[in-house]
Amino acid sequence: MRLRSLAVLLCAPLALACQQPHVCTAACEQGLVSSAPEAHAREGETTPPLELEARPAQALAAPAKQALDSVAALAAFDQAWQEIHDSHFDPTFNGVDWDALKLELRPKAEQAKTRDELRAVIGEMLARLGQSHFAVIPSDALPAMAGAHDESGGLGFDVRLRDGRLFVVSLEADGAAAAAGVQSGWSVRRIGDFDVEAALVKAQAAASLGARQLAFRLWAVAHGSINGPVGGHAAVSFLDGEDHPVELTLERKKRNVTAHEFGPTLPTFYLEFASSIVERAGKKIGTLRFSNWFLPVVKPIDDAMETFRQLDGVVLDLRGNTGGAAAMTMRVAGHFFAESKALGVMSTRDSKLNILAFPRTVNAAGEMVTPFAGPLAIVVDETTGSASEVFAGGMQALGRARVFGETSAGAVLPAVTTVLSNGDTLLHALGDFETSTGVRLEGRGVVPDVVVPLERARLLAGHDAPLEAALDWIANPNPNH
Amino acid sequence: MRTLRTFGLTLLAALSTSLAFAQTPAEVVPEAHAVVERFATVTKLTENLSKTNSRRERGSVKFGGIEGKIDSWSAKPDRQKVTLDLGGLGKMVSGCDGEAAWISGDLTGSRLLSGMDSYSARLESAYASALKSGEVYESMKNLGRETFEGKECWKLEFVAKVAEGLDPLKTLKARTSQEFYEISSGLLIGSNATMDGEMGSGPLSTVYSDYKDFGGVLLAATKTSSAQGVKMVYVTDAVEFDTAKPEDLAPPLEIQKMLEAAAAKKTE
Repeated sequence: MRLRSLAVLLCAPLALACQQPHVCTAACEQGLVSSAPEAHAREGETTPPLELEARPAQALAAPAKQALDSVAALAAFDQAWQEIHDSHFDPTFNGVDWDALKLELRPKAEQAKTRDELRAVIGEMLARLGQSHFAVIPSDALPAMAGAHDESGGLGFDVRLRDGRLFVVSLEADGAAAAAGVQSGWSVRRIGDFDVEAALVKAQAAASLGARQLAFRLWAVAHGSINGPVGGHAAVSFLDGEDHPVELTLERKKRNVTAHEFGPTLPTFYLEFASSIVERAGKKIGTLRFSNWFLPVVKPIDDAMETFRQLDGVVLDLRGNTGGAAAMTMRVAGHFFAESKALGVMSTRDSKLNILAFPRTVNAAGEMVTPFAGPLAIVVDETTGSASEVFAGGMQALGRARVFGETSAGAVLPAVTTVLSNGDTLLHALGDFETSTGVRLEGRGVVPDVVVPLERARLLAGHDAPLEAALDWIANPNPNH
Repeated sequence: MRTLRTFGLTLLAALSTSLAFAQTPAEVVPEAHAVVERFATVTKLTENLSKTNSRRERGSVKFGGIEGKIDSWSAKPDRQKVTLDLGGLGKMVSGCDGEAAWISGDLTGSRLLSGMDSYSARLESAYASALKSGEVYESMKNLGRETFEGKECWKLEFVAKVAEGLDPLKTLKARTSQEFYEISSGLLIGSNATMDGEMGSGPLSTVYSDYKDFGGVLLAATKTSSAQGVKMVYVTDAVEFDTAKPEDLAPPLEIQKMLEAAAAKKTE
């Protein structure tokens, strides 16, 4: 067997860089996640403390408070420490004295009386790295969250945090919220048990959380409350456009999503996909939007790009896309390049993997085609994470796309999972990513070429300003002429 | 002709290795090709490769919390197609027809390999690559005894000939590999290579273990590779010989079209 070629093949899909807000949210809310939000960043650290939380599908159902003997606790702690020691891409561990940290925390692990206490210790160890994609996924998370994380239903709206308030930014046309008269620009005070103000107070108490991290965190928590099993109800408190209270009980209707099982150590993903062709100033523009970089959206993207081939431009809206398998960026980028280009490089301690665009020169019907050569606009914000940032940052660096919106999450490290001896799963980053121009995106994020902030007045007027700016650029790329 | 040369080498190997294992005070280090020939004899690879025309290996692969199935076809003289079914990550297929090498993934799309990526694939696709033909390598050396995975081994170094269009110096590292043959058993138990091409670069080390009899030939049922910071474990469950049909080694439609286009471009 060709191990050398296989190794390259296998490494590509390992660039799993994603956040899973639904899992993260519920885990944090239920106190199941050892690395609490505020524990994720060091004081003064600008790196977003975004963690990918997942639940092992075949995890042991051991109660969080279950007693733990010191031998078992130390075995799990040592394994987690060693795994990162051996695989972290940075031999300086982002400036953390990894050996000293072991000496400091090992006695605490030894004293841990319950699984939760041990998780807290390991979580503290991971938090000291101050980087994305390091987390402990509790083994008991799966049974505890199984029902709560059926996300096939939804209340039919999405939100963003701005100026200390959570605003409705979009509505599903056939969703419960739209049917009840909810409008973009309304603010949300409560969704079921999720009290926005209380969550904000709690999150702001974590002084090291920056605005982007806080906005992501609240969005993630809100998502966990907006989505859920079909037929469930939630009491939602809004303030309308004139800040008058509106109390509604909304039913979660079936969402247009595809459930995707990724693997034994990650949860079910509920994938959204939408495409359309819009006309603007006489130009025809294709728009694409999808929630994660996973297999079920490959064909829809290919099919959409097939219909976009003769259009005047394409807008890829990556807001709310928290990442996935970064290898898929190679395929999607291939729709926009006739020749192979590197979006960037993923570096482990001793290796480099080039994230190359694989030019799409043959379509599904086996016909030779020319990749799309027209303008490409990408829309991002703080909910654009990981693989989405690899794509947006990579395309921007190559000058192939113009980026609109607000700075992305800055959580880009490719990660893998390792099952610890106590049944918990350790998520740990093993690589870093730089664009072809040498820009490191972890912590920084993708900075738009055209910053278009979300403004409540524009939302209330029914406008999606970042998307419209992207469409306008394609419709009229040089307004001075 | 090839068979005769193989037999000749086998005899030479037997002689060389017997000298090597005499453990005289001034140890005689066997020639590299003798070590390889001993391995081929011990495992009955020599006989197997001369008798069979194709091989299929099926098994599993695990890496980074991901599990998948592997189905690998090889055929004389130098054709290969490997399919990985990675569940939620889709299928990834790589192949080589002796001239062109390619990869195609449900997630990644398709690509014809070039440069050193292509050359490495061609080298590894040779049906009898385990015999280390002198036609392929510009040098084969036995670097002497070395402990690998706690076992005393002969450490061999191979430098593949440079292919047309490749820079000899720039590709030297990627053309160079080491293999570890256990002195007591003669079995290949490890290798080190360097990936260095358009797709990426870095070391690849592999441990071969759990040798089993598959249809009269001893093959390592477990191969554990480390690359890009990830450990990958391949386990072979079943091996069959001479069952390959042309379609088993055919590339996916997208690759076929790309190969046709590349051929047409060449003739322009």
